[in-house]
Amino acid sequence: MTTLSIHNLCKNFGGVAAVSDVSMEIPAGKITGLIGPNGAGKTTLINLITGILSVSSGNIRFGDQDLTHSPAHMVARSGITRTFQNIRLLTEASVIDNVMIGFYRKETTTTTASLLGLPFARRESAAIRERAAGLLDRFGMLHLAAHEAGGLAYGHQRRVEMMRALASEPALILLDEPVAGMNDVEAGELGDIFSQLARDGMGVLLIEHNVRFVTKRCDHVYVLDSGRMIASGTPTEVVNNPAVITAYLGA
Amino acid sequence: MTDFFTTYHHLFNVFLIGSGYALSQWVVMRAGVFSVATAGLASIGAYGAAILTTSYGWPYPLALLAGTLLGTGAGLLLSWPLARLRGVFQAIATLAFVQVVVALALYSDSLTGGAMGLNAIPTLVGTGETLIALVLVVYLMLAISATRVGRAFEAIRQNEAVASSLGVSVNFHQSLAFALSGAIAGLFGGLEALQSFALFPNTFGFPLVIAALSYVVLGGRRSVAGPIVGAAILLVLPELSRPLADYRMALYGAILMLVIAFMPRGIVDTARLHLRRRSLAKSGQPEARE
Repeated sequence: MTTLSIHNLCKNFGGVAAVSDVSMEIPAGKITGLIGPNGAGKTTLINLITGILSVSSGNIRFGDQDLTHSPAHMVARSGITRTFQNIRLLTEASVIDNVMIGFYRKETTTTTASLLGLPFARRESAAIRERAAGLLDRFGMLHLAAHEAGGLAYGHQRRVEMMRALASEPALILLDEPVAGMNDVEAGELGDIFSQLARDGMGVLLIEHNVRFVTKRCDHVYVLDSGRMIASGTPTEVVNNPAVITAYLGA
Repeated sequence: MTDFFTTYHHLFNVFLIGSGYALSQWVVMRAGVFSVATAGLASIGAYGAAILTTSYGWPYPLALLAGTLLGTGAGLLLSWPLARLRGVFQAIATLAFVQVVVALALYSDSLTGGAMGLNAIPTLVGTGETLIALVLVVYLMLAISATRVGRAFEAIRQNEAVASSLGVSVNFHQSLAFALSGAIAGLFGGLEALQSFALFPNTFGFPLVIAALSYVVLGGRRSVAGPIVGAAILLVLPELSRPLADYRMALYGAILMLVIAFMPRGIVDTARLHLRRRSLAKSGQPEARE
């Protein structure tokens, strides 16, 4: 059970403070919400956590590891995965290849074994292909396994990205607007999956615009506006907070 | 008859070596690196192997190994400053590297013979050795494609942010790709040196940069067969169309333009995509779009 803790995190782009003095906790086994108007710094915060952007000041800890200055691939190896606001798939690769790369973190094949094509490396690849097929089956997409990912419908692309993030059984998953552009039924289905993941002990950070979705699914909600944390608490507390209403609706 | 044989025998050797250079170019591009350093790395391997055999009397397997290691080392060294560059900036920086190698070969007279070239290199290898080397390299490339490193390369090539968010180290794999490219280029540079009597700095200049790139673009960037098919077409076709000999370069350019315009993925990859789509359609799979 690892908790991600962020303390006084700041990020400046030149003179602009995109994230300033943000502190938050993302515990395992819970869905933590992060809402805020456009340009509030939500995606910047995810990029800071995942090591895509460098931190200006403050720190990020995951359990007893300090991830403040870890490069992206090391953050991923510590058990944190993400999905992207604008879906990012390997568009030329097949659906199953897209899911297979999700297992990369768990692979034990060494570079040398892979270069030489040793039997062990080939066996592990075959095993991963099978596990990826299993995952596709669970998400009802096995019949699309050989299709090129870039040609899939939007909803299917979202699901492929989700499977890829879940393949390595992360301890924490950061979801950047995962139900954007979906109708209530589709969003509900995905929401059930998120709730199940949290029940299984995974930490979930949910960035979302859809306040109804957030209040229904989250255990705790943080509100970001212009790079500052303006409120946090249970979903009901937060949506009734005057500062939040002002941020969303204007004064 | 003997004429016929020697003509095409030589052409076959040229094709084998061209395929080696093509694979050296292919492997970096596979990992999303737009390097054109193959010509320079081949030059280092070629001069290394040639000097070690002519001046120091090394046996050819050792000289080839040394050429391979020199290429690998040069590739690794090159990857270090280039790690922060991407796309066309990598291409320009590696092109500069190729020119530096040409210049060094021109000006270090005592070692390389300068503009007069390195002459009287003993012919120590032939079709057999070159073919074995190519088969070996093809095996390694197929092995990579089928296993973990290949998946990492593919992910990095298509989207670096995705690759690193899944735990793939971009720097490590791009250095690895440079090292592999250097090893292959060094090996085939050595093989070329030990079967062509003489080496000149400009053998490994801009024309080879373009040739190696063209093989990959024409043949295809994903499958291992792509660069080999590309090399075969671009090297063999002009030779077979003897009546058009005067227009060789024009023919070369025309083929390249047609392929880029109509098959941007290259011949082999386009064909494979076509076959895959046909088999998906045949097996009665529902169309992916809703």
